[in-house]
Amino acid sequence: MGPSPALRRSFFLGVLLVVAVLLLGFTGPSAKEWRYGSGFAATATAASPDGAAFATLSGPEGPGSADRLHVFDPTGVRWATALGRPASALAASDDAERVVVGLANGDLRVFDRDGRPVSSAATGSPVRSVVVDDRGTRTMALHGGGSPVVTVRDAEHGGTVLSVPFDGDGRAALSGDGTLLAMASGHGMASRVQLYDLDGATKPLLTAIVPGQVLALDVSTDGRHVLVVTDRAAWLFASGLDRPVGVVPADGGAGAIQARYSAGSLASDGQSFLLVSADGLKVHHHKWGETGPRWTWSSVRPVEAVRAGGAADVAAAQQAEGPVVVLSLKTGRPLLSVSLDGTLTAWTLDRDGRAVVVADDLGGVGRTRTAPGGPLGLLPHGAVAALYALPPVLPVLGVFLATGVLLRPTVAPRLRAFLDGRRHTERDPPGPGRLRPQGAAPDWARRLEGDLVLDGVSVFAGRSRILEDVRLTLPSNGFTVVVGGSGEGKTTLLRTLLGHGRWSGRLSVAGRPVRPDLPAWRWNVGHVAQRPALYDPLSPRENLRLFGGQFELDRDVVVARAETLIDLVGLRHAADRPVGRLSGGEKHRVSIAAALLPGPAVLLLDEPTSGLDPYTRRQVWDLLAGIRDVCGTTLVMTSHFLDEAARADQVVVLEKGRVLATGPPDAVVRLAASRSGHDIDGFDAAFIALLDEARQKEAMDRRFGDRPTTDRTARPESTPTVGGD
Amino acid sequence: MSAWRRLCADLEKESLLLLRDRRALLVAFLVPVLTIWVYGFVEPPAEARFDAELFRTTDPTSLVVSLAVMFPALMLASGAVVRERGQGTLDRLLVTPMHPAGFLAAKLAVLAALAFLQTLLVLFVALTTLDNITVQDPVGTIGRLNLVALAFLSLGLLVSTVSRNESQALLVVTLLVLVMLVLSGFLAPLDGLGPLEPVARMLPYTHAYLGTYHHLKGLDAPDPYWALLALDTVLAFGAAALLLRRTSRTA
Repeated sequence: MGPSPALRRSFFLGVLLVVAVLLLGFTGPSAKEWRYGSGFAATATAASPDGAAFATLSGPEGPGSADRLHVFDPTGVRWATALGRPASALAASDDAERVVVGLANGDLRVFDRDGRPVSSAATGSPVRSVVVDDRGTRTMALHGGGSPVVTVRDAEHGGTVLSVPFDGDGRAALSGDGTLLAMASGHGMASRVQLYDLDGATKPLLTAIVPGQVLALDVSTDGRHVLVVTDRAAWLFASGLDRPVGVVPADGGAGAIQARYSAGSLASDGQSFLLVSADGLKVHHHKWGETGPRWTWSSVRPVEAVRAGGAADVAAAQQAEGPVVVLSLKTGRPLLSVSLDGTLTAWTLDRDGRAVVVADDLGGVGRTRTAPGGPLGLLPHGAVAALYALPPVLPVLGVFLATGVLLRPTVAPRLRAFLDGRRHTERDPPGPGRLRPQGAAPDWARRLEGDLVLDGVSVFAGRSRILEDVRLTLPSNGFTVVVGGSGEGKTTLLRTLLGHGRWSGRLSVAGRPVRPDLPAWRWNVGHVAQRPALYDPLSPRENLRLFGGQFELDRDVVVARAETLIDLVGLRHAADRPVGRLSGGEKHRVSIAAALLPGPAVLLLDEPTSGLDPYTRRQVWDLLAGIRDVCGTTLVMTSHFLDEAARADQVVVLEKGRVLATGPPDAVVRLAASRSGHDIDGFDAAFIALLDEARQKEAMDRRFGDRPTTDRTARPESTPTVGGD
Repeated sequence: MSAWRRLCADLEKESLLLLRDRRALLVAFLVPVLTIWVYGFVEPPAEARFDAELFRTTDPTSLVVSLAVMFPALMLASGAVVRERGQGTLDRLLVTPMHPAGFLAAKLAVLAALAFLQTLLVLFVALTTLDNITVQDPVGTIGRLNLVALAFLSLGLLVSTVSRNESQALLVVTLLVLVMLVLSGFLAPLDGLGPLEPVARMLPYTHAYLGTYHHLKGLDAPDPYWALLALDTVLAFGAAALLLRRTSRTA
């Protein structure tokens, strides 16, 4: 006794689950949009604020020699140029309309969208970092050694808008709209924050002193908010106000002695910000006006830098020697992990947080979407993450699904039987036994107007003749069987009547000549080949419909005729079963029905009963006799079975392309008896006797050099034709 | 009108046969999907065009994508006529008033419809699985990949018309694929092929590979390959129709 059906079902579902989990684990989540690679590691990347393009600096010998500038967009490399000397800083405006490069020699170069130089300026000291506003109208460069200088220039002409020296070390930031410059500098215990309105006076809008060393400085896109992160606290300044609008002290209280923050980033809308704890393992998300962090994400590895996105509500955190993790700004849950084959050397997140650009030390650079656009962007981050995890698995699931759908008819019953713990068996209902069509002829069945006469027909294959001067009369509505050994010309005779091959002589019906090679004659002739020649995957009904379609009949007519013929050949029980599952006899019946579909006056059958068992042969014979009786069709059939010939109206005995005898079977028997000079019992013996006589005569001719065996070019003797009773 | 009826009948026949041949359908969709999916695991970082000096035409992604479209098309079409010959249905059709060009056109149309779905699938799998592929113009890409499929369907029909049996067709297809792959410009630059260069430039797969490469890399502007591929399609189909017509006359 086997396992119960319930156990089998559970086992089956378990296997499916394991396979699904393995597939999911195997493929893993991925949202890579595009990736490129080269032999050189990119030492700096800059995504355009709108995320449409990004630029990289790379060089053959590492960071100190990065002298090649590439600008990418989704089509590939938009442009590339050799800078001629090492570069250290890079920035790009929306769609990389302006790309700014700071060189180690102090030059500041601006390129346009197509890589053409726009302006160039010399700062006089090595450039440490550069920024360009979103529209590409202003650039900001931080250059110099111990006491650096911030210089804001007009990107078009290179003219200086503002130049301010730092007091000690510090940071500077430019707002996305290019209207606000923020600077923060100091000597450790305290830092001075200055905000400049770049469209207004050269004096700062605000100067404030904050405790601690400045670690991060960020400005919102509209220039209305500035985030200053020191090791003591995070401060939010608003342009136009002379004091901070918010403070997030380290360790939960103002004046904490232990430094707690190491990095920070302000979202583009200025409403929320990220802070990294000094131990580097935690990222805190704060929103102004709320007490305490909204969420905290604990990292496995130290976090080196964070960026907050805008519209996409995502944040990105780079882990030391690890991937960039994309987090939901709302929930803090990780959405994606972005990495390349090598160790990351540079990365950026665009203004809206829609894409992360990463570069590794193996020369790879790539852009990964963090969230979809359009309606998908409205979905919760968890759903988006699930969707992102789905695409690589979809092809596999699709293939499994397609396999299931395609194989369902075959597999489903077996599977059901397996799950139910029983053996699968498949049997088709049996067809009728003996078959003889009866009733009135279909109105589309044609009859020959008179006898079909072959007069001196010879068929050629190359330079030899296959048939020699055949003279035959195939009576209308008669049943003629052509017998002979293999290769004696039986099939050739039928093919000639079908209009195939090269032949000479005359064919006529009721005294009128016919051209079998013309399409009009093909309507009059149906052909049944030795093999059923049907489309196995299709049902008899479909086979009939498709073959009928070749005769330019209306679809309705073809369908009606097919139904009539299905009844005529007794296949109603199997009309919708694939032909491949029918028995040999049933296939022959379908084949005969297909030949009858145009309503031919003559049906040519090429050994239709070969390979069939005696019972099925008799079925086919009954069917053919019935067709002749009901439809009035003239039947011409070739056969190896002499008992079949004995049942015909007329027999034609072929030997080496010549007609040895023709007439009713009894008459042929009598002819053979008279020629051999002794009694002959049955058609089998008569056929053998006729062949013996012909071959003896041929041997005699060959001995006396009168008629070589292979030469069929000589004129034949007159065909012995015997009359009926 | 009568020719239209015959064509409709042929289309119905081909559609039914294709839909009932579940294994062929499975292979048709499975082969390209698995090809690209497996390739996704070993896809090397693309080097093409990253550096101005590194421009070259060797791009495995273009090769795999064009192969994933070309190979199933060639395989499916190469069995189309020769299978009918083997099962005797072609002989049965030849004694009807059928027209060889219509017979082949129906096969091509149905296989092209399948190829269209296949192309969508290939593109989808490629975009979700591969890193080094970007499609800026999805309609154009689908159109071009369909032209690749159409060209190789026509070539497959020609092979099928010439072959005497299915194993012969399979051998011819294998040989063709090998030769076309070697001379495609992927393994060696075309201008380094010496006396074989003119031959290589005439081969349909060279047009398909270089066309796909140029398109996927956004280099379409001076691109003659799609026109050449369209010419390949017409020539192969025309030759197949003429050969079948000759067969029907001398059968």
